[in-house]
Amino acid sequence: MTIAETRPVQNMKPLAGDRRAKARLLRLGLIALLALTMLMGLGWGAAGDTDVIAALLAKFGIGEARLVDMTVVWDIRMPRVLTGALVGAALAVAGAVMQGLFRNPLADPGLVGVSAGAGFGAVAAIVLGGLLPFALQNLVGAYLVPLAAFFGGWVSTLVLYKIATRGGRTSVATMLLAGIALGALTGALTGFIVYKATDDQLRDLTFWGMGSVAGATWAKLLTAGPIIALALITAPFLARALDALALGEAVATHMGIDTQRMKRIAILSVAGSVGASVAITGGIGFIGIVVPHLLRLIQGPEHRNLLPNAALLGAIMLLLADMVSRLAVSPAELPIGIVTACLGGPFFLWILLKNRALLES
Amino acid sequence: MIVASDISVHFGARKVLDAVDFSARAGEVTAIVGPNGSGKTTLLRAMTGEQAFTGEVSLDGTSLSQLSALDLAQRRAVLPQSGNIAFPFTVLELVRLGLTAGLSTGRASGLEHLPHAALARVGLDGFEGRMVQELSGGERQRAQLARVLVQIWEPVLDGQPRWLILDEPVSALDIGHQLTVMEIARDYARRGGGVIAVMHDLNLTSMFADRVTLLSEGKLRAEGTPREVLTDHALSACYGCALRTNTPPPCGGPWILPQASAVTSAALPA
Repeated sequence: MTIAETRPVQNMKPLAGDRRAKARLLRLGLIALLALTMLMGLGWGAAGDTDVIAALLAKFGIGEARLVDMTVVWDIRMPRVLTGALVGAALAVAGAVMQGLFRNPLADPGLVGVSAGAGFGAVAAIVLGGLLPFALQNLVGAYLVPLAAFFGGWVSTLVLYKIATRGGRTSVATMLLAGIALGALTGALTGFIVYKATDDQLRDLTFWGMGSVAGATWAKLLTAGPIIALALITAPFLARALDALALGEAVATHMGIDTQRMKRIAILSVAGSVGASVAITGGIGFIGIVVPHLLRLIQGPEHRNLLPNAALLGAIMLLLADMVSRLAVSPAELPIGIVTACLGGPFFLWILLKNRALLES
Repeated sequence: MIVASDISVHFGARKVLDAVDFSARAGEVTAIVGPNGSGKTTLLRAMTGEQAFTGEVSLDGTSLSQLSALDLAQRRAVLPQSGNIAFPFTVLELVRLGLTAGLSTGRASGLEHLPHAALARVGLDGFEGRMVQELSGGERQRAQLARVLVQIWEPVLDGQPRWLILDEPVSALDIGHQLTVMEIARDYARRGGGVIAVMHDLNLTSMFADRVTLLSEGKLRAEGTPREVLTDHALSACYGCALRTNTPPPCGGPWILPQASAVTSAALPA
């Protein structure tokens, strides 16, 4: 049998079992929805009637806008909306990559201690950063907190992977339990550092620990943004390897994947996304588990489409959660972590009950 | 040609393979047989790089350790005994994963139709849209075989043979599909590729293999054509039970008939 003999007649209708067209269509929908959500995020607030469109256009010299609108849209809401979108995308993609890496739909950076590790890094940087040699402080400057959070997340992911994975197989029970233990340990270390902090540092820690996108500024966005962007750009290059890894590490190797290399890159990508996110918004849970799971139900698990769509849907979800957090106890604001946990907690339980077999394997 | 020389594997203090030599030629189906725990799969896993071993394995003259995963993936594909799949793929998505290595090297362009051809070859046409998790054990094994075939569809590429390495390829299959799969293997070899298969069914081995390697207790017991290796004496000694071989007229190879012991045969109705 040669290739020519087996070539089928070209068929115009979408092939059964091929969900790529659906995923591409979904992506277009998500792009539109994200644009809409971002506009809503820009228009929604306590500043009364805000002409968002005029303010947006005026920035590029088209038409005119009131000064107050310019300030509200560009200095207050824009960094907040961009931070929300970027962090949402980062958390969803980190979740998807981590689930692919652990070959397990229940892996989530918030659940298995990676966020806690990143938080420890951030707290340690805020409190102990002053002890670093002056030259080093100058060198890293404002990047110290996100870099330390990245490092904390990286070490926790590495340790977790080493503990939970044996011979290419990850035990769900070991992963979740080791995650709890790691989370507790890093929590204790974080507590110890907080205990040692000075009054000024406590103030910084409190603001950081409120865990919301409300404190977003251009300055913070510019420090964490590049790390998140780098992690997001890296993720699609892992898509083929993550698909292959779903069949097991040995099979992936037989399919030509350098599994050791891809695991190192995946862990760095997860740590970058989670670390930088935690550094600017504190711990926001469940986005990383809810978004990839929903997408797999709709368009299947192929990472080439899962990762970009997860970024879009993650951004949308976090922006919506941010709006809920602003509305729920208006005019005060609920920390966004509470909102995502209220939605994500029950969702996680639902997945758990549906996938009991996973836990018993 | 795949040559494995002086292969030893230890699991802790236990020697699972003891200085085994093995070779397989392109254009032939080479079967590895032996009782449970004789080291068949371990030998296969040493040759595919999944198992640490002492000794040397070479693929067409190049040591295995000098080939990258991607080089190897283009020259041989491995069908594992079984394996769970982490996420809910459709059959088409699973089989399309066979193009992974080809996509990394740019060789897979224009080969989008291969998954369909491979599914038809293993008797699973029309299964494209089914979820892999919902397949029966035998269907899943054939879907995996289709994925493996897609990876090395042409038995000879750039003048070099490619290798199909199968670990118990028919263990979950009904008798009809056992023949389908073994015919795929033989056809692959006839067209210039090489096939190595770990087998339990001695009659299928006799029917389809060109060469047989018989292992027991981690040692090489016999090597040669089915007629040379599958003998009453060698099989009975290795498998620890009474076996009689017989050569029926239609096909040349010996048939292996298990002989019930005196006690159980007395209990059977005449």
